Amino acid sequence: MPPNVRETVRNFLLEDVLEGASPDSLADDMPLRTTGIVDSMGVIRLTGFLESTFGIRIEAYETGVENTDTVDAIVAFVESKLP
Amino acid sequence: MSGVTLPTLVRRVVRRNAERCAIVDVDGRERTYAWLDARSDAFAQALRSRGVGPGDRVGVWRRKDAETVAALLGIMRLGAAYVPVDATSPSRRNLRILADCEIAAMVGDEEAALRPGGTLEVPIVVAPDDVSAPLDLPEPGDDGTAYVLYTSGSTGEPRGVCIGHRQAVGFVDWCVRTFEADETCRCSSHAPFHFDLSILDLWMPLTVGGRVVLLGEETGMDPRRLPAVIAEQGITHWYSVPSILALMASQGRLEEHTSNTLRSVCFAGEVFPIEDLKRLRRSWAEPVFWNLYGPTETNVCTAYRIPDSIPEERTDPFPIGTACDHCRVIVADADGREVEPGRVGRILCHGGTAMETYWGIEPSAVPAFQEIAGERWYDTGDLGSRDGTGSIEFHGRRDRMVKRWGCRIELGEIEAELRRHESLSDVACVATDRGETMIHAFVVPKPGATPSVIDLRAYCGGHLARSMSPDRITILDRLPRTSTGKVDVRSLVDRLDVGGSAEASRFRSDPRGVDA
Repeated sequence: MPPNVRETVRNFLLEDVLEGASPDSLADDMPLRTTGIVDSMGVIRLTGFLESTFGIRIEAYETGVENTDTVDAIVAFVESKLP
Repeated sequence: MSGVTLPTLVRRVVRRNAERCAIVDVDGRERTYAWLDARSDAFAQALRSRGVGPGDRVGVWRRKDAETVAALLGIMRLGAAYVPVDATSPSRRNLRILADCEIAAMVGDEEAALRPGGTLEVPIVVAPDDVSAPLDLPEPGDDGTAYVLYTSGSTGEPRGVCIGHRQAVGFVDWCVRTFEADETCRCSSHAPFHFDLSILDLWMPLTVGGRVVLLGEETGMDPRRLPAVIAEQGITHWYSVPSILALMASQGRLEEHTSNTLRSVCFAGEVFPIEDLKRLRRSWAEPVFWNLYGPTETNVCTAYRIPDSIPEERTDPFPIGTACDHCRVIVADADGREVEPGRVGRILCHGGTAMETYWGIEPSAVPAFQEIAGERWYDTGDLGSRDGTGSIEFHGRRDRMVKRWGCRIELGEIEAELRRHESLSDVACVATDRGETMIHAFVVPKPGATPSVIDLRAYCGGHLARSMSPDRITILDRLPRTSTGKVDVRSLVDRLDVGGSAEASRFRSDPRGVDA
């Protein structure tokens, strides 16, 4: 049973990138990159995490804002990579 | 090399190299020296017609590309100084910088018109028309200011470092000789133009007829894309902060790009973690690695050549080396007397590449200038010691400045910005260093206010330079204080779950052997 993508992404963001943020304050459609809430180091950490957790390979050109700006976008992107 | 300026040196190259490539733009397009010459004339003409002349300052608020390089050159051709700001930073900070510097005009991009102009009522040049014939401008004097680079200030206000042509040319000349740059050199431009690493990236290749390969914001932060770019573009000289090289070593899949044409790999701005450096050295065995050191105020003032093979058992970072031949560097006590080898003292620099002063401040009022035996020395605020060979080892800071991605960050500037937040009554920042520098902000809401961590992060994203945004924000009812009423930083650090080896940057835990 593969891990729930949305839950896993949210937990990683809340615990590792946005340390100290309450789950209620992170809306799934909230822009994270364009607002500066998540910086590029956060994205690099997220990418490494997604690759190891879901066993996917993420190419350099895929880590732009279009795939990483919101929780919804990240989830859709990961799901498109899963078999 | 006396009596010349950066634009004069570039113009000499244009005469003999007009059709050679000068710049590879961020989109991969190649631009010749003739193009660079014509476009810099276009910027110079447009600015001149708006009243810009020798001694003025011109703001540059524009994304990084070949046109921006032409603008920098055009500004200098007029005898004016360029003042680049971080196009990705919040408007407020940039406006403060440009207002402080009393710019006469600004070079912007299409978005510049959309940004709040605030108090800046100056002409904005975006994409000037080509001029029909080469501009016949008088040679700018070498005693003028070439550029003003703003760094984080402990008072909460950024400070403008004014560097003259004489200093800039002296530094570039040292780079050319040390890194053997010639017409075949292809130099990476990784740093943004408001960052002093860009001085080497741009003006070393462009004054010798080589080419500069501009790396855009997205590419530059991407450790997986960069190794391919280095190989495809045939880059010979790389210069960046260690962080991105460390990321390439750990995540760049370097084994997929084993062949490249690198001759020099230079890094500066912070300490290169030794394990990452070993890994990079194993992947890139051919080029010479250089550890360069120097604050924006002096540009590079010491250099250390990393050995070709690094012993596996080495765990200490490498020294920052010995003084470059354009300056003198000493390790001294508070009175300016050199300390014995092995003792820790202040790192001071005197010489040809040090700044004139901060913009708007008389040299006599710059606290970091120190008169020793009738000479003016710049106190870097860094601590160092000489090893047995005379090389200087770096021991961190005396004050609250920290480095991240090579950018200087005054914790006081972050605190000052957070204090302006409408919901906060009190703020304290601490930095910890466990291989990577982490900034922690502790904030106390005003009575009745309930800001969320995400709100506060968005606020930081909108008000602080990106490198300054805290990694972690903790909301407290009140800040712990010592018996004398000062913020109890030790107690704040204890609250952080960062392990026993963390050391707050405010603390120098071991004062023994320090003569500073």
